[in-house]
Amino acid sequence: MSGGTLAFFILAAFGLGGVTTMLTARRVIHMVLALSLSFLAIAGLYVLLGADFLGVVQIIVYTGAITILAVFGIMLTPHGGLETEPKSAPRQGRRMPLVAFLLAAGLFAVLFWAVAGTRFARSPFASDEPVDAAAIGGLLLSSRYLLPFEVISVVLLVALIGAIVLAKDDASDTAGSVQAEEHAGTSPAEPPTVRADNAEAHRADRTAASARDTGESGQHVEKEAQLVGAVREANRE
Amino acid sequence: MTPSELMQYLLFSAMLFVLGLFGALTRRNTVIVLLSIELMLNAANINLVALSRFLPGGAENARLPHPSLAGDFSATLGQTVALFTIAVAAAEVAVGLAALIAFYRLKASPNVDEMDSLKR
Repeated sequence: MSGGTLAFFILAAFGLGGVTTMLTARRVIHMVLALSLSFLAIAGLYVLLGADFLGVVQIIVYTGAITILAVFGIMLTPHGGLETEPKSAPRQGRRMPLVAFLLAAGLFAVLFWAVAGTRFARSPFASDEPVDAAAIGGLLLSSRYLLPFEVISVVLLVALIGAIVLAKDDASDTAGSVQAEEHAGTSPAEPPTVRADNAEAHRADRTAASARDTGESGQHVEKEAQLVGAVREANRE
Repeated sequence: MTPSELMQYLLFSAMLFVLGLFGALTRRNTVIVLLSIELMLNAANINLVALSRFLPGGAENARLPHPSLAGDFSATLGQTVALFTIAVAAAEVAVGLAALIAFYRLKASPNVDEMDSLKR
């Protein structure tokens, strides 16, 4: 057994071991750490395949950035850190693992059949030399791949802005949410005029409602409500 | 690299893909579902890189009559396409986790099986 084959089997064992740990672990944070191990093993496989640059990119992007991002995602959404079955899970949800297993096993059978049944012919010009990073850069900057290369930078920019817009907390818009209410209750940053405003609005609504309820013509009450509304508008501006 | 070695890589990536699919279908935490999808994309990347080792190295393509094709159909091309995949996958994770944060603010739960309504 050559050194390359041995290295492949060690790295593949780490990769599959990481994924298996991910599928069996109970704590979400352990799952992410196990998965970062298999990302690292995949980076090793890239180096073994002569894709040195891709291996480094894999370590930076996956093992570094995406794992850290996932850890942030877990810590920003606290839920006890456990991946547990819900007590009131619908029966359909409980049957899901079996269906998923059958689907995955069937797909693997098809893939195995396809890989084992194909004859791979190697080009006579093929070499096992590592690909130079400069060659990748040259290809990206060539006239045929320049446009996709530029588009991918726009995609990353749009993803950056989209992520900020999605995750931005606009307190005025999430009145229904528990967190926003807590936020509004404790935040000293909220301008007092808004509160006064809300109180006035409530009072105006209540007076108008009572006027309507009691069947009064209540013109002066209406007028008061209009006045309060005008004040509120002015305050907002 | 012999065809049998290529087969090892292809089978390894098939296992990774299938395990990622299983994880994406069975896990309830959104972060883990996203990472399982990343695993499937990684498996596809391994396939791209491994299969491109069977293509010409690239230097001899410079002799082709079409000079703009010099980098095409070479081992370099497989790695370049994998690079594109990594960029798109990184963008996907960023947007996915931002969507998770926005969802958590609404329902105070990170589980995908509670993402079942289009309005708040």
